[in-house]
Amino acid sequence: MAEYKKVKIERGRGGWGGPLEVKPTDERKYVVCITGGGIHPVAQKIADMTGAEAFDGFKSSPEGGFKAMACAVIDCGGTARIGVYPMKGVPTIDIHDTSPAGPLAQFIREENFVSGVSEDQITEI
Amino acid sequence: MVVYSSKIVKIGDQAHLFLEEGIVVFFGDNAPEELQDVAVVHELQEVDGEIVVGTKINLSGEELIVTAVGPVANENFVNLGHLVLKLDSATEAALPGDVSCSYTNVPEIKIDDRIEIN
Repeated sequence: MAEYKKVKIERGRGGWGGPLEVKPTDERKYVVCITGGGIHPVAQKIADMTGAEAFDGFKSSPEGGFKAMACAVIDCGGTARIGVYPMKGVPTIDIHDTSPAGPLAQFIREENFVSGVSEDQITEI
Repeated sequence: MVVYSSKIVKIGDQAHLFLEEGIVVFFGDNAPEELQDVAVVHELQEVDGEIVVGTKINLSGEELIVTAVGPVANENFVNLGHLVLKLDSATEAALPGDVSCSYTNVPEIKIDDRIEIN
């Protein structure tokens, strides 16, 4: 059994939603990064601080799918990814300062989504 | 100059949610399944150049002309093959990832159709 720690993730400048508290479990042990260019520093920091495993969602899907995701880190420009992961029940962190929009906006709530996030918005609690 | 040329290989089960609102969400065929579900999926090719205002996009035989480009749109396209076209003729992108376009007819997208960006 791994020891996991909890972090708080607050919205950054111009951002929306949150704060989110993320604590991985043995079932939800992946910080899945769905951004361009591998693991984003925000995803790496959440993984390092919580004891979870950072996972590149563009290379493959984690075993267990959405149910294995502690959270998803995206660099969404506001339309698609912003809604897909909240819809699937995965707490979602957007690096860009987006607000709910698009056909999936109904799934995006302050409890499951936070945006405008950089490494400075992640703190241990 | 050809910025991008590829073919449509899949139309996700939920892509219609976006298409009905005049939004075409593209992802490359390397994207995770959950993103392909909401997308028009193209065979991933190299992007050569930037999409700017005035760029012509031929999609399924219909010509679209770019009227606005959001600040992260090109980055998303190059890195992820991800492009969000909005058929709204907007002169300012509403969201950072948007590429707004004017059009004559709404493209009727089918598998094996082509997307050409010039």
